[in-house]
Amino acid sequence: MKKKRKVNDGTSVNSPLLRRSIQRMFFIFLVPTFAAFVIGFIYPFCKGFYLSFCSFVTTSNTKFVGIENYKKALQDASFMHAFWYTALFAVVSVILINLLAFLVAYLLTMKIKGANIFRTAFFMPNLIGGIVLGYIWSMIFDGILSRYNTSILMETKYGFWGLIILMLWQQVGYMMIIYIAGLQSVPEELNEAARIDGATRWQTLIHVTIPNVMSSITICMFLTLTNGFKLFDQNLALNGGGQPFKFLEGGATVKTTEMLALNIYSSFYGQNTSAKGVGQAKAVIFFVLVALISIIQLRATRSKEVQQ
Amino acid sequence: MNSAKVRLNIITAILTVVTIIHVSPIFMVLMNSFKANTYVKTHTFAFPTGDMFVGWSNYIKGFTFGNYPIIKAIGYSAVITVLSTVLILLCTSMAA
Repeated sequence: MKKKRKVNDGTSVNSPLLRRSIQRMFFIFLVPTFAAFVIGFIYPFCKGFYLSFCSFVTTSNTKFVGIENYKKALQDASFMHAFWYTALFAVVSVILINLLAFLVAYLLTMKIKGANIFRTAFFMPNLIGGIVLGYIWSMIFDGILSRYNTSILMETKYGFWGLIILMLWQQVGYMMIIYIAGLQSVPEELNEAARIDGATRWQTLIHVTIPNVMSSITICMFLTLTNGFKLFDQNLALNGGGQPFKFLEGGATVKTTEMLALNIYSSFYGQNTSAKGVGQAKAVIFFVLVALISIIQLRATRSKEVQQ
Repeated sequence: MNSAKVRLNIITAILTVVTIIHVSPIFMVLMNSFKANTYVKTHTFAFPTGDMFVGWSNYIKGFTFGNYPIIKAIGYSAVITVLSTVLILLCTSMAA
């Protein structure tokens, strides 16, 4: 059988005999992934967007009400409180997680014996799922705080710092792995050149190492920011008891340790059955917010990346 | 150089301490799984000795408790994981 090869760059995909059959099966290959994408993402997203303009109890019985739901969502005191609480939590957790993970990764790339054991030990808490983590730390925090006759469900600041410690415990190992990979890809000649030029360790860190690890910093900041905003499992397990409350003037009650996702969840499944449209509007606002923040953050840090 | 070696040893020592603190909650859960129920709330961090130690009864109760055995839940999780991994690999490598 004669095979005429016009393009010979070594890959078998380019041989004309194979290429024609692949092109014929082009659509068949793409259909499963595309179908899953449409069924799992596009259809629920569009339907949810449509439902956010309706008021409904079951999705087959909707009544179009326009922007009413959005106005009610923005006036809801618990939603605004959850929004500021989540923003504060996301900022604090991004700073702390990235600092600690970078510090640990920097220490672990300094040629210590047994670095692999340390890496495994730091990564292990990431393998525990969200809800179990919440229960473990709720047991530990109650054990500590019961000496002082309070509990983690009693004060907002205990709930806040408890959640921060929990996320630190879970995420530092994961971000540390990314930072180690980034730090090990810095070429050694740059460090030696800096040392020959007489730079101190601190100056080497700021001017040589960090610009080269900027892509890892981009990824880690993106991941921690979106994780911080979308947090749900650990919040439900640690603070989900519905306490502490705060009573505002309008007669509304606000659960002060509730984050955005938990707020949307409880407005769907709470006692107020006519609030499902408002919950849907809140969910759309939530999506737009997270997408905007991630795009801004990606643009800002990507412009600082140094090409090798 | 001596000072570099000393510095590396200090860093190793600090890292060891930090790692032990980092792993300690898992160890605490393990200890608490051998205690009777009321002692988990009152003596959370104590090593289970004497009165608090109940052997394997917590584990046995966990496996046989209620209408929905945990073995079934583990089975479902395994099936979902394996099936979804296989399908994801198939579909995405086809699309790439």
